[in-house]
Amino acid sequence: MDQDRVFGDYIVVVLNPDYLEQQQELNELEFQIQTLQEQLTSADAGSEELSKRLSELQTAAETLRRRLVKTWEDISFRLAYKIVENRLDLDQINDLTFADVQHLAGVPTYLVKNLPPLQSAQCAGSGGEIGLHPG
Amino acid sequence: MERISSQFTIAHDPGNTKKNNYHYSIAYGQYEVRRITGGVRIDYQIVEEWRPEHYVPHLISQERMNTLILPHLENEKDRTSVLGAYDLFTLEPLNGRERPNCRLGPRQGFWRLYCGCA
Repeated sequence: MDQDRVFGDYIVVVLNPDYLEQQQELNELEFQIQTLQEQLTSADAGSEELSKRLSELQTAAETLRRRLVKTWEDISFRLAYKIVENRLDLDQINDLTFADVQHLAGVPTYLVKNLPPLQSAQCAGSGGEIGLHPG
Repeated sequence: MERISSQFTIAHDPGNTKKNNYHYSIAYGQYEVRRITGGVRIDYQIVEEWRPEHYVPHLISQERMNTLILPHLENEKDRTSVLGAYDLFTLEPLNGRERPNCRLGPRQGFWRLYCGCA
């Protein structure tokens, strides 16, 4: 997918509460890493322990960073595919342009996950109760 | 019973799929009766069969979710269940941020630019 063509000068920003918490956690980890690195440059004693701690924090930060990027990536791609899937005038992902997504700019929007059948049926039940229908 | 209630059945590709006008039109109220000279004209709209996932909006603004859907769900469990089926996002201007190209390149280095992490 050509992200420049699809998203133009915009970028998908994830607003899920758990995602934002993890982002905050990553910020804190990176702050701790930076502090430890500064301590290491001036430490005479106990640097081995500091190095070990630094390594642990860097591993944790990298794991978290990868998880966040994976989520961001999944949502960006799913958004594009869902639009193509629901537009009769679009055959493939390469047909998608910024004109097809620009109405979403600045608008917090929910994008459905790829639901397993049971959860899909539960959501459909809730939708049916309040009068939602596919038409 | 459905067959008896149907006036016609259409068959179409792929796979010579058969659809009767009761199941695929009348049952959904998707038909229109109009008077014409000497009789009536009935237009049927033959629709796909609705499966559970068709009731789930694929993309809905947070505002519409909060005003049209969530207030109508009586218990918290249902609201949590519905919200758990969605990811919340928005589109923001890049404003100098670098766009990650995760599937094509290494992930190191861009995250600070993307999320503004210290």
